[in-house]
Amino acid sequence: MGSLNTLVLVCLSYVALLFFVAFVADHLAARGKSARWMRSPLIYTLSLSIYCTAWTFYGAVGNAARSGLEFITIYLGPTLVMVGWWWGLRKLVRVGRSQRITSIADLVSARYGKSHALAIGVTVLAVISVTPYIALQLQSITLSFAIFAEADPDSRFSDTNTVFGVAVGLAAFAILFGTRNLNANERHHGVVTAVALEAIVKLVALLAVGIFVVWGIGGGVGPTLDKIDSSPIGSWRVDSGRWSTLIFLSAAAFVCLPRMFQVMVVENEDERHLRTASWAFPLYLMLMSLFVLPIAAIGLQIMPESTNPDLFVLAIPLSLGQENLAMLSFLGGFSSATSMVIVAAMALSTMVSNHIVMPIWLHQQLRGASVSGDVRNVVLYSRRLCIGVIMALGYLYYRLTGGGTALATIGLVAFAGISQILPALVGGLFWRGATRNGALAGIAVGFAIWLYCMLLPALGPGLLSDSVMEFGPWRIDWLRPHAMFGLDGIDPMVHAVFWSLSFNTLVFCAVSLVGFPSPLERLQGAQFVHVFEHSAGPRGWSGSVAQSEDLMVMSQRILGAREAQAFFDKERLRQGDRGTLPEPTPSFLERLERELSGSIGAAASHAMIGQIVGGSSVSVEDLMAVADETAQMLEYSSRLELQSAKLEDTARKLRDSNEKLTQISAQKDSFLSQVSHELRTPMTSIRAFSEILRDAEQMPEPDKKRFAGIIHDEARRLTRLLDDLLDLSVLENGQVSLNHETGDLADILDRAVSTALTGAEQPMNVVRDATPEVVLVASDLDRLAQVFINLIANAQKYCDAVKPRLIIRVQKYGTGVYVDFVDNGSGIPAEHQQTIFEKFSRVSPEKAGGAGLGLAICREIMERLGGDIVYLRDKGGAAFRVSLPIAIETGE
Amino acid sequence: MCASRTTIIASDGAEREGEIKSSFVDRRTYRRRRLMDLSRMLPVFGALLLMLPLMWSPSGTDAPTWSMSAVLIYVFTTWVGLILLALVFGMAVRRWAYHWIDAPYAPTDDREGH
Repeated sequence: MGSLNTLVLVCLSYVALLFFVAFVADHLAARGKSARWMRSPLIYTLSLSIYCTAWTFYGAVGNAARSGLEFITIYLGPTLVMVGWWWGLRKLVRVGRSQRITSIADLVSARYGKSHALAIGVTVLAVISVTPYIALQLQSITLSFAIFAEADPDSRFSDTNTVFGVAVGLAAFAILFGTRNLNANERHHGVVTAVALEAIVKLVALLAVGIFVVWGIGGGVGPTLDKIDSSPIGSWRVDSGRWSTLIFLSAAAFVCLPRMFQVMVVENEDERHLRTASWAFPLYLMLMSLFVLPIAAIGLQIMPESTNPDLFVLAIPLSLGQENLAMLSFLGGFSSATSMVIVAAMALSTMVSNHIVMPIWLHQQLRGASVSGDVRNVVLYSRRLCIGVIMALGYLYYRLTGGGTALATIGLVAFAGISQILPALVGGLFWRGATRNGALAGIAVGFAIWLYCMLLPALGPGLLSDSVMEFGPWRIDWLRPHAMFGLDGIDPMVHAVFWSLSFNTLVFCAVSLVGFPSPLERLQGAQFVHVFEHSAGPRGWSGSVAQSEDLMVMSQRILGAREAQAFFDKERLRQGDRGTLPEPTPSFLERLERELSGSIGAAASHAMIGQIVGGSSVSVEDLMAVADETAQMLEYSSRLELQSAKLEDTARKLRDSNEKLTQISAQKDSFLSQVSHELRTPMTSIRAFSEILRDAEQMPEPDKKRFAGIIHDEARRLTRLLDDLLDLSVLENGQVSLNHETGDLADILDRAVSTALTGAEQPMNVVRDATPEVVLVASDLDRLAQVFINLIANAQKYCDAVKPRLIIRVQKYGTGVYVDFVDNGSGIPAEHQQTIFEKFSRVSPEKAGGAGLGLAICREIMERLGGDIVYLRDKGGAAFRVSLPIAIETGE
Repeated sequence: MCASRTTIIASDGAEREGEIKSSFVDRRTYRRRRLMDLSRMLPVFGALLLMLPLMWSPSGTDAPTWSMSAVLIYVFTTWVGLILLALVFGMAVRRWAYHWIDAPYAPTDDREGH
């Protein structure tokens, strides 16, 4: 017969067609040439049909064969959601578009203050609920292959290989078209177009089988209805709890399922498409379910007992030799499974990658350099990886559960699991008081109850022991998984949904009421709940005439009076010269915003106009941007402040040095007069006495000697003064040659003290401590001694204490020694402390001992020796510190 | 869409863009209000109709039951009715309340009535 080979061939060609369609659509969209039909409401409506998975394609008939009309509830829930689009989905889509939402986890997290914990929670919940669902799709594909294989005796069919191949192929498709690029709006034209094509295929397939069954076998509508009534499912019996719960559950899942959110909100091109989808999608669902009951009834009638009613759609045409119809039906089921798996894997990978992988990656990268460059590539790779992992999980789940009947119930389990997001989602959209903690607590509680009452029992025996199922854990009766709190005897599904969603909602509301949301949460809450006031159409602004004046005032402040006047006049003329001010039409506001943004930045101008016009669409990003601008301004002003501080500092320095210069100039003047005086006094006496010696003819010898002695002394005084001046100029010009040798500091001090105090009428008391003075000094010892002599001589000369005393203290520091000379006089007055080291500086001209060059020479010498000399304040008397850098300790 | 700066009144979206809500509104705004009523009614109305068959379900085993085909016809008729109402609502939105839907190139609504 070779039907399996044909089937594989058809299947592969169909996949190739899908690849081609997706490729062309992506290609067109990438070049900005997407055709109008690609953006049409029809494509949007058809893409919503991924709601109908293989579970509903095959399973609906099986369900109908077992429990009559109950299958239809799965379609009725979404219908009610769609017809109520205006106050439900419209808000969801608007929020999704205005907040640039990428997934249901992103939406919930964004609503509750961009909470990370919530995003991760919702993602984990979604992965746990959807993975078994993916396994279910793989199972249905395998089963449909198997039924063809049964009809083909010489086939070598292996379900393991088939499942593996299918999983790999679907992963490849999802990776290829779902992670092709990283659009800002996350739209995937290729996938959506391929999904729309698959939607047509599955509808046509099911309708074809239905028409064949009703008119081909049943003999028309009337006879078929009779056949239904006479079949085992012919009487209306329904569990009312299940009926209403299922309608509610499917409505909730329709909104919450990640793949539905992906096509409904993320891939939404235009809000107007909802208007069409609101009636077209229910129509699609109705057509999908139109022939389910007839197929089930007739299948039950004509097929052998052993046939799995889940596969009636395939088995009926196959058993009647309608190979082509069976093939079409197979493609329908195949389409249902593949489109669901691809979109689900895509949506889940976005969530896992955005909320789990990327935060971890970024956190690790944060320690390294900046990460701005190749984040986009990393995101794409992480999404690809996530798709692979999710498909692998689905495959593993299928293998582990053995693809048995345990999977069949998993569809509703997944619905109930994902519906745990509903309270947080609806609360977030309609209730400003909903808080992050409430949402977290609600989802956690709902998730736990769902896990305990529904998922674990559904996964088959072993996970929860029989005794737990029957008597409750630890024999606590009211904790039995199927009879919590004594609610016994109702359907387990209804039971689990009731308790999980009730507690979820209750905890969510209670925690929200008690808690207090963070500012970001409150802001986002207002953005979400009042989304229609905040995003009034694409142009954003609307205003009334009364506000024109305010706008004018504001513009004048920012643009300047004349410019603002000109701008407003131009606008008034553009509007047809009515009144004195232009009306604040959206286009005018937009232009004004642009104009203002040139002066104060885009975000700030947006916020300012928003303030005046009201109904501002200030998003968190806007506020952040404003904050950024403010930060920039702050930084700018702080930089200005810094600069002005620097300027002030420079001015102060200039003032100081100017003062110093004036002082020095005054010193110079006074010194010049001093020097003239100093030179003139000895000169005068030399001239006078030499004249006496020349003119007096008889002069006693002793007088002659005395006069010659005076002349000699005065000449020596002159020489000394000139020597000092010469010494200083040599030192200053750096022409001095130093004679480095090593000597004991104590010896140098001994020499200096004895030299300085020689010839003094009352030598001052010099106090020294011998121990620290035992230091070897490598320096020009004569020059060093000169410094010490000068300092000691100064102290001797200027110390005005009754009992003059000089303390010479030696102490070590780091790599050198300090030698301090402290006397007990009144010290140097503060106003002179700055200038004592200058040339010609004399503290007290009345004590005209020297020319005021001593300390200047000392400083020059110390600088040459690599040390320093400073005046120490507040030491009681005059205190000088000589620091010597090079010192070698003795005793080594 | 906007609130004047002195009186902040929550907008319900029925009024013209830029119009401040008041108790007596023009014809067009009145139409929009009723449209919103319809949109809110639709799902509730649909849910009620779809719950109706539960009343026909027999409580005891020996009570006479409705035939499946009758319920089938009822459910599908309700379904078609809902679809038609949604279609009418969609057309009415297009006719009276275009600005409700955020469209990239919606015709301007701000000139009317000024």
